[in-house]
Amino acid sequence: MIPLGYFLGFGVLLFALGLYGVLTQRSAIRMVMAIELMLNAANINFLAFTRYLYPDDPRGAIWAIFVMTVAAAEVAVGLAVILVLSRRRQTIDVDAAEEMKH
Amino acid sequence: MERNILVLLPQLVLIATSFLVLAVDLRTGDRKNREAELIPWLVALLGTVAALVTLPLWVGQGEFWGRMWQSDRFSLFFQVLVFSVMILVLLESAEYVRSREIQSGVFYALILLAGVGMTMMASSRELLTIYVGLELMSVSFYALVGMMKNDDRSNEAAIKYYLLGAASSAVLLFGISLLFGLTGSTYLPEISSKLSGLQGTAALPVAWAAVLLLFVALGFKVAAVPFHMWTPDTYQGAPTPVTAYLAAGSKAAAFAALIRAFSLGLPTLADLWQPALTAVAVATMTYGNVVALSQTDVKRMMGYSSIAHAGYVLTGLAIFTPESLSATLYYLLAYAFTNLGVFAVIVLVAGRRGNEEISSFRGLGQISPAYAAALTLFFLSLVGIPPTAGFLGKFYLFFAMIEADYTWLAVVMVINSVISLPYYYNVVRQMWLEPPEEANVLPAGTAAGQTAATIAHRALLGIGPAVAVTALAVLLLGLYPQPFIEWVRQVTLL
Amino acid sequence: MAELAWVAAALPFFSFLIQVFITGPTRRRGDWVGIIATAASFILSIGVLLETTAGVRTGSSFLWATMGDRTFRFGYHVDALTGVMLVVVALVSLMVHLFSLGYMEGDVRYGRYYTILSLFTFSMLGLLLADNFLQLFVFWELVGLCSFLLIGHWYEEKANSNAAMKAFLTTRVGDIGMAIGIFLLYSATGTLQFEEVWHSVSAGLLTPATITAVSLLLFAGAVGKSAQFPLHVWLPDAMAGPTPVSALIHAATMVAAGVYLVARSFPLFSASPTAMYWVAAIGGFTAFFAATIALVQEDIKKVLAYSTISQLGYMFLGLGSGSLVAGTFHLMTQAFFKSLLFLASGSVIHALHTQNLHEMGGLYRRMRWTAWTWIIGSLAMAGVPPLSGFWSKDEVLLAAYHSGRPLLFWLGLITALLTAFYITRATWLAFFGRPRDEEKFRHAHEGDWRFKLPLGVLAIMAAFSGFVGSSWFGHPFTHWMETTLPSGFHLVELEPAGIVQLLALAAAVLGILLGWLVYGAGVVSRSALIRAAGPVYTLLKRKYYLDELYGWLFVRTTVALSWVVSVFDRYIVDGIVNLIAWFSTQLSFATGDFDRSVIDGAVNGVGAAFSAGSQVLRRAQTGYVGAYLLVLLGAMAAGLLVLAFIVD
Repeated sequence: MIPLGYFLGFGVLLFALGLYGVLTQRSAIRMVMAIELMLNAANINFLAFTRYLYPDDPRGAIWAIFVMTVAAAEVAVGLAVILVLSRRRQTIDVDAAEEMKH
Repeated sequence: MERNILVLLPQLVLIATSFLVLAVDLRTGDRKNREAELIPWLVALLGTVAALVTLPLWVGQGEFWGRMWQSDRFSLFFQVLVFSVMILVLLESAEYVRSREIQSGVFYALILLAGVGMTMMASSRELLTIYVGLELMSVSFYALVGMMKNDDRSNEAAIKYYLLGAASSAVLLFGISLLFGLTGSTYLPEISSKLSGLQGTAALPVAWAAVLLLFVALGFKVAAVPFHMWTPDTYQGAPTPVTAYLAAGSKAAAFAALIRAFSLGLPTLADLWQPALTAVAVATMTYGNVVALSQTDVKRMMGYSSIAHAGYVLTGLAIFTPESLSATLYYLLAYAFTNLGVFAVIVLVAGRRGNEEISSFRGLGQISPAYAAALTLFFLSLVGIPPTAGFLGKFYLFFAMIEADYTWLAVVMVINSVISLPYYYNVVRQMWLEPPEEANVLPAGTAAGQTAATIAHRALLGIGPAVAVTALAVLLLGLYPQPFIEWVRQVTLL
Repeated sequence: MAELAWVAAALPFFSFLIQVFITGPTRRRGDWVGIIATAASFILSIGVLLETTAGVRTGSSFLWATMGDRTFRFGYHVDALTGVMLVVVALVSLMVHLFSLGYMEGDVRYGRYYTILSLFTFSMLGLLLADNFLQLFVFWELVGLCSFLLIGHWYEEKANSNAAMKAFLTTRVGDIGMAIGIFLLYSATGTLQFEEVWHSVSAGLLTPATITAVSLLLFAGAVGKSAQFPLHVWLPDAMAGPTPVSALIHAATMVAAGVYLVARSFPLFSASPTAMYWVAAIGGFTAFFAATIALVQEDIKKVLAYSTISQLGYMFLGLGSGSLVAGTFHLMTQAFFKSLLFLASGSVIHALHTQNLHEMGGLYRRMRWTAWTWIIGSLAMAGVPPLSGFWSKDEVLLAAYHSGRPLLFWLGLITALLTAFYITRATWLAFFGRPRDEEKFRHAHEGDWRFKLPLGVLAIMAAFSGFVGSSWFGHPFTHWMETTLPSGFHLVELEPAGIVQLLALAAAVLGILLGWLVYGAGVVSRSALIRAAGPVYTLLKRKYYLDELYGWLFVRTTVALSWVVSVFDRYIVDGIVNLIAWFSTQLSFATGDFDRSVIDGAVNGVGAAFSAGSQVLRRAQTGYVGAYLLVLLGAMAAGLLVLAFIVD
């Protein structure tokens, strides 16, 4: 059986990857994708902990389902916001949104 | 473990109202006359009042729905606070929504749903409910902030708030997943008892990391430095009533979650997070006040001001005594009403002048002395000058600090409130000590003069009552605080 | 009656509410509402004074806030000190209300003016009635706010609104000290009720260091409010407000609140010799310093403003020298004669539309009533017996004489001479000699009863109020003050010293004489020269001598001295205030730049660091959202790093 540490390492890696993506991407869509990676890293944690440490407790799985649902709602609203951005500025480059500063 | 639908009644009322608002808007959407447009607004307002009215049907303390819902004085306090905030925000919205061509049905429905999310955050000891509430609130806000589809700034504010907010949610989740792994639970009292068993083991550093991640995410919502970056932009770009809602409602709810999570779930790690929170609080208040000094847009200035106030409120949690928690709640109460009052006047001025530059407030004391006087009162409250709610809030915090031997923190806060004086004062000065701009004092004989004068004196629906209520609340909280202090003290007996 | 003392404060408050909500839009606005309310307050105050001077001390309070196991109360306390102050404030306020009827007639913001006047009267009376430091602080801020609003009454002129801001911000500097002092006091004693604090002091529950620190911090608030060196700079500028306001707020009542604070806290202050020394030293120095500036002012209100600063310094000198009686007695008499002088100057300004002394002259012939009341006020201030100022100034000098600080005594004595001199100068320039501006003089005329009545009443008070502290009547004022002290504290009985009285009298007479010689006699001789149309040798010589004296003794030396002092005033003290303002603005911009350049740069830096092998990273430009995310997540990473170190 694969040890728990592998899953946790994978989770951390995924989280870091998402972090990296969200920091380096300029495209709003790609940033949303990167954030999804971070969310999924948390989900992997939840599921791995449930499977290995608390096998009798379904709570971790419930969390994962909730997170997926909520993330879907979040992305839906997010895409709507990005759609307005692209319609008004003909780009989804978040750098275009820099009118308000200082 | 009781299942009782009554305990959720206010939330159910709000959800039902939000659907009703959408339905009504569909019916009236085609006929764009003034009265028809106000119907969704009226429905939303009545629904919120109904939710507030159902609170006395409160079914008593306890946990419901399999520990997912906690009904206690703490949740009652925040429900009263959030519903009051919602009513005031709705009062401030009516004219704003109409004049900015915002889809009124969606707007009001989202206001109601965000309110449901806020009350959820305060009404549970289970992180899952807190998380879902937080997301419901946040997602509603992402849409609300970007509601003005023809306004670049509104969209920009939404983009920034959305991307940063979503990232911070992911951080929160990762933190919760670590806590879950350590303790096998996301129920705060259980987390607390399990964590105390971990003292001295190798797993403790993981708990520390989890605390940090939790704080990053919740600190983002309360706008604590260095997680504050979204605040000024979002405050400036969002529709003004939404800004008010963010400052008064979202911030209070995030503090509710922060207080619940840290004082119930993580008290065993207090040695770690207390100093960290103190440092963050000092940085937050100082940063907010200093940067606010050079702002020219009132909403942006209020953004920085709200950062500074987040710092003040954080000190209450950082000190972590029963009195300081009571003081925190009192401060939140005072801050919510004061801020809503400020934004009501901003809506008024922006409605007349078309922008929110500080210079637009020139001569308000001459045009509308009552509103100018009220705004002066609110600013006095924000600085903490008696006899206002803000003074008592600060005084209560000072008291808690001195009792807990944090006198130095009280001194830092006094100095901070002095730093804050010039930027509030600048607006007060524009209102009272500057004549109104030329266009508004043209003799009434000319046609142009008449128009300008009419615009300058235009009354906006809902603003008057909102300002009157908030001004009274600010004075009441400052002049006769005893009953409210009794209340918040009972609330913090968690 | 004493139990109803709080009604005296409540009445102006109701008047304020009525003016805000009911009479605001009416034609007369709320002027008479304010007058009637203040008159009723005055009558009540007299009742309170009569009872408290008979030894009654009473008070009551309600629970205002419970925090932890501590309670804070809100209530009132009256004793003889409160009684005296109530009468002073209510009377001066009433007179100013009446005077303003004429002075402010036709003003664009007439209604607002009376509304704020009512609010001020309420706040000031509330301040006096407070029975704890917290409540006192609340009203302390309120009077400051009213002062701000009234200084900026004619805000169309930039200078006026600047003056309002300067007053508000400068006094705030002192208030920080006061707030910190109150915290410190609370953390040391656990209470803010006056009675309980005095009890802790007399029971020895406080260390001497705490008492000194608290006293000095509270005194910082008093220095700001009472315009003492080095925070006095706002008061001369505050003359931008309407003259009746200057009489009420910036001469008689609000600026005396600092003195009242020290007097009220006398049990605390007198327990710390260091604090007492500083109170006396700051007071004595300010008295002298401001008097020298007053010598050369051309604006009649500026003369009175510096004179007020100087007289307030006297009060602190008296208190700091250990005499509660001297400080409070002078507070009372000064309130009468200074508000009288201000109102008289208001009458002159109203008639001439100028404040410049050199455009006045000869007004005695046109405005007898104003001139006579002014003369009574100026003689009282100069310290001519048996007018009020003589008795109180004598008391202050006596206290300084007995305090064992000869320097301060002599400073006080020289100030007395300077005071007599500059007020004589102002009197002569304004009311005697030839009119220097014929055009203005022709239009000068006495006002109607709205001007005369307040001047007359205040002149009577300025003349006779000193008798309450005079030895002729057995020092009743001393006995009143005796009753205000808590048990365990006693007034120091001052041995009357003939030499002090003699010196004070000599200083006053000498000052007036010199003033007359320079301004009166000089002018007379000049006009005599014109009339005689032929130079009389000795007269010329004397005139020449007087010019020399004037030139060398006063213009050169005192002008030089005043110049040094006012340069210091203008550049150093103002400079420090400006520097602080500049610094915080710079800091603010710098932090703005931090967001712009450093954080953007950091994002670029991160991009550069990773770009070595990757095309994707090259695109990591300085988007603002990216910058914000970097801060958010960077802070998180930094936190994790710190944790990693802790684990090690």
